[in-house]
Amino acid sequence: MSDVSFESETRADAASTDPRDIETALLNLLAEAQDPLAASKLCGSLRKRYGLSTEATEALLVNHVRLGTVFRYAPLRSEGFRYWDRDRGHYLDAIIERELRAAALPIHTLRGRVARRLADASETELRERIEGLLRVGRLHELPRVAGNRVVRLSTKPPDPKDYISGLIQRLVHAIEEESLRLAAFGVPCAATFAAARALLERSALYGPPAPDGVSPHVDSAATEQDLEHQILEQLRRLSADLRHGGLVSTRELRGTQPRFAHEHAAFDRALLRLAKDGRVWLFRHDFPASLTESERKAMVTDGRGNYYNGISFKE
Amino acid sequence: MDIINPFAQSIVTDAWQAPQSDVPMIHAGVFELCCEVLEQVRRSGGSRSVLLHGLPGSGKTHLLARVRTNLNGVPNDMAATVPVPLPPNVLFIAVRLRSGARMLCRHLRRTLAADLFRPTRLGMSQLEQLLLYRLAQFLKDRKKAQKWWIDLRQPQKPRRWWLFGKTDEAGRAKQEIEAMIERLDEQAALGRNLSAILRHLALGRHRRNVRDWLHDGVLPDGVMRDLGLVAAPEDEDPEEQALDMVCAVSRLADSSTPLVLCFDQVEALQTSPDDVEGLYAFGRMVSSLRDKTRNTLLLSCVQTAFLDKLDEIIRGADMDRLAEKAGLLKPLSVEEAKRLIPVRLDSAPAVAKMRKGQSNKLWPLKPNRIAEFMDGNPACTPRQLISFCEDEFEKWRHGQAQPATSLEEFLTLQYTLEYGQALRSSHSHQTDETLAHGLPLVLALLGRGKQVVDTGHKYADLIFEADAGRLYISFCNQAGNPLTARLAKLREAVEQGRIANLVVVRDSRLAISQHAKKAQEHLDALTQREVTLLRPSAEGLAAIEAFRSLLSDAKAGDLAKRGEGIGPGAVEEWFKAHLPPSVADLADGLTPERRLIGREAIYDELLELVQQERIVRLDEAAERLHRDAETIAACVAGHLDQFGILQGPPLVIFEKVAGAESAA
Repeated sequence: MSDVSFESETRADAASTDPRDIETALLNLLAEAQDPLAASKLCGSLRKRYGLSTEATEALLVNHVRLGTVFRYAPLRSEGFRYWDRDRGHYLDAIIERELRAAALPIHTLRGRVARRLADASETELRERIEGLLRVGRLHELPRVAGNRVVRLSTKPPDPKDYISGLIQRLVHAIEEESLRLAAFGVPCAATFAAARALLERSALYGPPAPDGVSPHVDSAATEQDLEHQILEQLRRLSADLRHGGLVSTRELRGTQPRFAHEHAAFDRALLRLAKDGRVWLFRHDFPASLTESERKAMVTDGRGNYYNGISFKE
Repeated sequence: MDIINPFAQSIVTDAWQAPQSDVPMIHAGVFELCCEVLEQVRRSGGSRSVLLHGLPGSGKTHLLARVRTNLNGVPNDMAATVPVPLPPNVLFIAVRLRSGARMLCRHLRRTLAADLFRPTRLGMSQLEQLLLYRLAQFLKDRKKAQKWWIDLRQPQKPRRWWLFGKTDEAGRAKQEIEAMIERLDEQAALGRNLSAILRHLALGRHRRNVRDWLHDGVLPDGVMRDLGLVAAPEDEDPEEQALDMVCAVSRLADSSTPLVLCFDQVEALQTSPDDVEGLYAFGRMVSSLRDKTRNTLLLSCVQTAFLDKLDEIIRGADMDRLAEKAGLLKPLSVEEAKRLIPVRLDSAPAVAKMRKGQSNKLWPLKPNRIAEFMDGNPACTPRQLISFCEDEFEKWRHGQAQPATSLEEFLTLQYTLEYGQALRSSHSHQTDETLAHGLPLVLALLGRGKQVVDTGHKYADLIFEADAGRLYISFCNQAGNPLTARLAKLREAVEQGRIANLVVVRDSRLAISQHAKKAQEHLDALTQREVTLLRPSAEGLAAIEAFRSLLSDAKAGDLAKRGEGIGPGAVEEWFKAHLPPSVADLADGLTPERRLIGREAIYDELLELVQQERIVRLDEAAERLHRDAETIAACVAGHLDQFGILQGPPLVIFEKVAGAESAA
């Protein structure tokens, strides 16, 4: 929704009652507006300056519609007809681009969004406008995401990051899981990660290998410390209300920061480290087999069949 | 000297069980929270609720036992005397929530009735001490109440014409007490029946009937009349009646004596992972108790892992009340472990004697082994530590830990113990409760039907969705008019087509009296309409009781083998693999193709006769029941679980008492 601000545009005409000035002010308002406006709304700002009634404003607008300088749109809700200084095709393009600028959308979702502003837009009309915009490069059809059959449209060209971030996340997650499994056999997690980096660096993804001892990745110890710090901060905040006697659900804690959810295994490892260091208690679920897969996934696991559903400060 | 392993006992099963040892430092914060909230209840005149949670084995029930011991003390052995009227510190009630959702309030009432008759530290029962105190409040000289109380319980001496004084004194005491009960009723709105019951208790009369009425609110018609009690209206919800009774007891207690209601094993209310009814009903009950009483402290215990389920199922407003305050029972710290072990060791006198003069406070255990264990178990619970110490103690005593029993052996032993206990304490007044909670567990396990909620059928205690459609089960274990009224309602519902596929359940130990002509007529009319009459045996009921008890323990984390919890799944699997024939018969009796339709009138007649006479000659029984001896002998042969026969001549019939053989 993009109603215009009515403060500045009529300031110059404050004292004038000349009909031409009134019409100019009216057309200025329409030019500034991002969507067609109802006569009552336009009248609201003109009344103060020109003492214009809704009926008089509507009469002026109808006259301009007849002249072809203003276009009339079907009412939205119960506000009466709406008016704008641009035609229907223009308005359809504006809505489509506005919606797709915010996010890439499948056509059926876009159709719903358009209908909210322009209820009488037909399917054919919409398709023609989309094709026109695609032709001139103002819109882009995005490649399908793996496992999803829906085509999405966007004002931006496809970003490769959007297509491989999931893959990378899964790969990282799998490596983290594997590191926990190996840790149970005495292989330090850091060694598993170093091996993963080395293998990646030798792959075609990289150009010439980095010199020995120099890693393009951020210092993992500092990252871990930062994560632990963030976890403790959130835990302190959540346990302050003593709702469950100071106990916080690991699911709730994970939900407090996008990072905790994205770095799933790193979050689990950080909590296990905090417990091992004696800073927090982790509460183990006795019968994880009785839980659903999604319930287990929301908990913290050590990769050895133990699942923890609660955490509290030790003191 | 025989040395007992002081770590052998690692589970406190009941808040009434005296803890073997106690370290006040452990969970001190949560204990203080309970005491603080209790003080708030005393001061503010409003009820409060605390939710206690922790890992399985963290000591939730132990904490309740500590609260009880701290508030009520240990009962005095010199219990025969009546003390000067003093209020009990609290009325302590410990409820293990092994109940069906639709009998939850009645389960609470029954536990309340049983616990009210437990002794306080002064030796009297909680209820009697409270009643004596409340009556004494009406007198200037409180000792007078004590004297009357004693006098009215003295055996009556032969009356001598020249000693008018004593008789007049007793008569006056009786009149005064009756007047005081009236005033108490006016003050606390106790209601007609409870006032009458308290009057009998104060006058030292009908103690057994008083207990039974408090337990169920129902007594045989004649006894109800004799005691001046009126039957509850038929259309009144028995759950509401039970809740009202609990509230009335809380009003009797007033703020000087808070009512402490402890709810343990909340997890057992869930009959299956997707069952919501039990927990929902529990939330509603706690909420009602908190709002309808002014002097109640509600303490509820759950496993930490169960909190999400509670949050999800219990209505938001009810959950806010239930978890008004929360106490988290944290794992043991190293310091707490160091305190716990010596206290446990010293709880065995022989070990304590040997430990005197030892510089190692943990002797005979090795400190480095304990330290290693604590290092490897950062979230160690008291139960885990005690179990580890049990093994360490065995190693010291015998050079090796006790050989580990298999899960199969462990569960067989536990079941046998539970079954024996259930059989010995089995009584027909528990039948409804056993079946309401146990039957859904058994049928779900056998895949014979899933319990469904339908409040539209008032007289169906359980409803199952089975392959053959909906199955309605009605418990008809009442006597006299309540039985007749219930059967009449069922008959009406069946004849009007409101219920189909109905099974009427009556405990096989309860005869349908020859004099209950109307009840027999309704029952015969029902069986003619293909309604099944199922008569579960005492053995079958005891088996279900033992199963639900084991399963409840497992769900609440109270079933552990060497410190490690055994899940409900393992118990279910074991029970299914060892299904007792009596339970299989009971479950078969509910399936359409195996049902026996029709009433065996001769069985009820013979049972009634044998219960009256205890022991009767077969030919005499035949004569009194106007049957031939062969018919009687056939009936006895068909019900050997119920009747015993002594080979003659003459042949003698007697009633078999379930559990008598195992007790012997």
